[in-house]
Amino acid sequence: MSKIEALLAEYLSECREILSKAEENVLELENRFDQETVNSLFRYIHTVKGNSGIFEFKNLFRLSHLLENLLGQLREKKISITKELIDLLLCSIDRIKNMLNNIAEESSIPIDDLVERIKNFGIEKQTLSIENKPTDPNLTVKQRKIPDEFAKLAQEKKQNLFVIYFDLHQQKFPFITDFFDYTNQFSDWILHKEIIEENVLFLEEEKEDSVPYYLVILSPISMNEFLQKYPLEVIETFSIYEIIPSNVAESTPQLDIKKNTESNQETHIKVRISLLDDLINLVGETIITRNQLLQRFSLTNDSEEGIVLSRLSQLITQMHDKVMHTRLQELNLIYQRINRVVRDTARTLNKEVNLKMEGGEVELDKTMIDVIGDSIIHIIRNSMDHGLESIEDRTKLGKNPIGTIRLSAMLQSGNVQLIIEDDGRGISPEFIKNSAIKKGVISTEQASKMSDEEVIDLIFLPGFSTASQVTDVSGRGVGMDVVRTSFKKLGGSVKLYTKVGQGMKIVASLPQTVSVVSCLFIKTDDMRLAIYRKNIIELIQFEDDKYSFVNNHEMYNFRDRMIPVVNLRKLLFPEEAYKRPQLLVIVQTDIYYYGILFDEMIEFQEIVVKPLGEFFTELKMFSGATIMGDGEPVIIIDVTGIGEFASLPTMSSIKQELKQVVSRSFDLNGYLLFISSGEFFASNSTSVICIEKVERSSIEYLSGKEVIQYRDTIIPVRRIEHILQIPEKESKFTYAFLIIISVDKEFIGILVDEIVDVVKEVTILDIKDNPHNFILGQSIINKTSTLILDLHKMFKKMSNTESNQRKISL
Amino acid sequence: MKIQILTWKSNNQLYGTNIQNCHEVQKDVHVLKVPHSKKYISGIVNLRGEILTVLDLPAILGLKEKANDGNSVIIRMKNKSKQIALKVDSIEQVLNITSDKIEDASLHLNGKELEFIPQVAYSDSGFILLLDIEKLFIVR
Repeated sequence: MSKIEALLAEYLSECREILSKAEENVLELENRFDQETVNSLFRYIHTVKGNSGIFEFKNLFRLSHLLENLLGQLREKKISITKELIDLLLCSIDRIKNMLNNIAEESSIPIDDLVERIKNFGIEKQTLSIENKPTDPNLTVKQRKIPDEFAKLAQEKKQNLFVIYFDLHQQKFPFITDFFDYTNQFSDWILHKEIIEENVLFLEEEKEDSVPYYLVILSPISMNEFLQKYPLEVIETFSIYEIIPSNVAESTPQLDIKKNTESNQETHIKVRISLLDDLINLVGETIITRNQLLQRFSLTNDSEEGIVLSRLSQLITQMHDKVMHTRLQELNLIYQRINRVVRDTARTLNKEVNLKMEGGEVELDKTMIDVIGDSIIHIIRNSMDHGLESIEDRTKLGKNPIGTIRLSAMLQSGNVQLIIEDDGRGISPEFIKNSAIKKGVISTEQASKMSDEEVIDLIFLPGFSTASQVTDVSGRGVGMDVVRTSFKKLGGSVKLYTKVGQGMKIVASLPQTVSVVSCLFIKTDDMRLAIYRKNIIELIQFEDDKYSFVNNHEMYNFRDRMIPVVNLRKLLFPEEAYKRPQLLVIVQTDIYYYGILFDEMIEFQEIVVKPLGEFFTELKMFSGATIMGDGEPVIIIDVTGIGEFASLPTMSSIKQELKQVVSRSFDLNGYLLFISSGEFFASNSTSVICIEKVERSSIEYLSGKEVIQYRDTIIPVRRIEHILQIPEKESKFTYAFLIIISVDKEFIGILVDEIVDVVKEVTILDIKDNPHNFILGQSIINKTSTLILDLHKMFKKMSNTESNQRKISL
Repeated sequence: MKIQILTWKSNNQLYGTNIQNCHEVQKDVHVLKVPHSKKYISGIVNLRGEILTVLDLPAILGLKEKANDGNSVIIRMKNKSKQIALKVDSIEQVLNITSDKIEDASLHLNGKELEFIPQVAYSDSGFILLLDIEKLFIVR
């Protein structure tokens, strides 16, 4: 890069920073006049002007020069802050930004429109110039004479003096007396009030029933504050004397330059981003090398080398932590942008918005801030456009006509939590459902089965915009699906909460740094894989009898909860032969809760996450990779991605489905009631894996024994009637039910005619002289005599003593 | 006009590309196959702390892909913003080729191969298929 290019790059970077600060100042001034803010704004524009002169950017120079003049007038109070002025300033700043971004075409970017406006601004206001000299006689405001005693009084009392013009008839009061009651609130401050008898020129359109009126106010609060506190439909306001909060009023502006710049230089320093990136890469590699060293050195802390290595390891971890923090920037960076966007959007939509922002000092990694900035702005625009009702609607509903949008950030155990909420109309699940059905996103049938939360979640599907017309404000570009993906890619999540009529709340969370994470390393089929520790609930040994197959899903009984499981080996290497898994890890994300079956556990380790690369972005089940101590790459699995890939039921759908399954979500401490050959039985259900409805014709014979196909294998079919030696009654139905239990690691199907119910408790009455341990007793259930059995014991005995046909008498 | 090309062999065919885009050659690296990935992706490899995607050249060209047997030879290739690794059978020489020895490949190839190999070159070592590596960076 040549010297000129380098200089230009620096100039552009500096100007952008300056303009950003200038914009901030302008937004501040919109709310409150502050001399210091005006001064610094003046200086910023002055700098931009000077710099552009060096490079001979003529348009830039001209525009900033005129702007500087305008600000000079503002500084000297020759003009006052009005909405038009703020608009003009913002417009000009935008134009300058545009020129900076397209610096090559700077000369072709038009500025004449702004030049005209600025010139007119100056001229118009100059004829009404009100000087801040209290001794000036005959301060006139459009032919109204304000006695100079007022101005003297203002100076003495050190209060603000201003005049408000309005039309009495335009005020919101039904009766004039209400208006006077209203003004009683600040009656102490009213120096003079007068109805203007003659129809003076100041009303642009002279309406017949208008009542022009003015108030001269002397108050301790500024004119802007006054108008915010006591809103009135004003036509025009004039500030005659204004109090400046500090004693800076006495000093001339130029002398302040030093004061400001000095304070900035002491605490911060500018660093090239590429330098920081290099630093981070180096630290990342240092960590990998450290891990390699630690591996080779399986240390005992007594050894000298062990102690030194341990210390070195600690230092490296700390260093990594600090380096990652260099990339942290305050959220205030986006907050400023948001402020501007909200202001502009409110104007476009004609809505009043009270934007509350908190937690700007919370820090987030720089790369993340850029990404989520767009998402946050999209969400807020959405709220403003679709969420907040119009001013009239809100008033009709009894809501504050000014809508509130609150953006807050919080740091919670290494995660940044962002909350964006509005008090608008909320999102109606019905509306979303209908919209989704219309768009063909879901079928009417699917829709009927969905819970409200699932319906709301549809918003996050790509292409889903319920706006009846894609408004320019929020309808295009970033969609809610992009928002969710952006957060997910950064390792975070987005949740939406809403109450119809009350508003909407979005809670997004992100890890604060893209840094070192803890992972569990496992092995399946000789391949190592990693799972993020934050997803892991528990790690347990796989037990066959807890595993079952319900309605085509593999399920596992985890602490009396049936959860879906996925066999990792089968998922990743479908061609490989089935091998019984040894271990099970229970994992959880926002929508999934399931178990992963695998072969071996290696260890927990802290690793640096690396992206897999764009060739793998479509593989949702993997979310990155890392380098192990031995230099080998290991893939990190994405728990949500695996859930999707394996079509696992989500947490809410499991609850619904289990209700529909024939066996229902039976309480494993309960009793299964069934009928076979006309007799009623009940069995404790702990050993029952599942119940399947089968066609009687599908029962086959193998070596003289009844068998049936169940999943991938053939299992024996047993009948209670045989064991109990009761006559088999022919069933009129073609189907039957198979109660599948696991005995000695094998499945057996017990054929019964009908499944009646599942009950929690049963009062078991002993049977006299009961020789069999598999008959637990009898009971009266639903007014019927029922025999209580332990199926497991029943058929366990039979498996062992096949040949012994014991005669049983009841 | 002369260009320097790095040549290699894949399935007994000689290929080459401008050496400016080749930044490194590694023999004997272990490539980890990623389950469910596309056929033309051999896998990923660790190259000095960075995870690099390894592409199988024959597969990309629509020829039969090579089985991942043991360790591989890879060439790290870069363009302005991205980098990938290409799995090859063996590295051959760096040759200086003059423009008169280069011609349009459409006379010799067609279909998918032509997409990736716009030109061919003649040399003492044989007939070289010149790869346009920009095409490799496009994810299909």
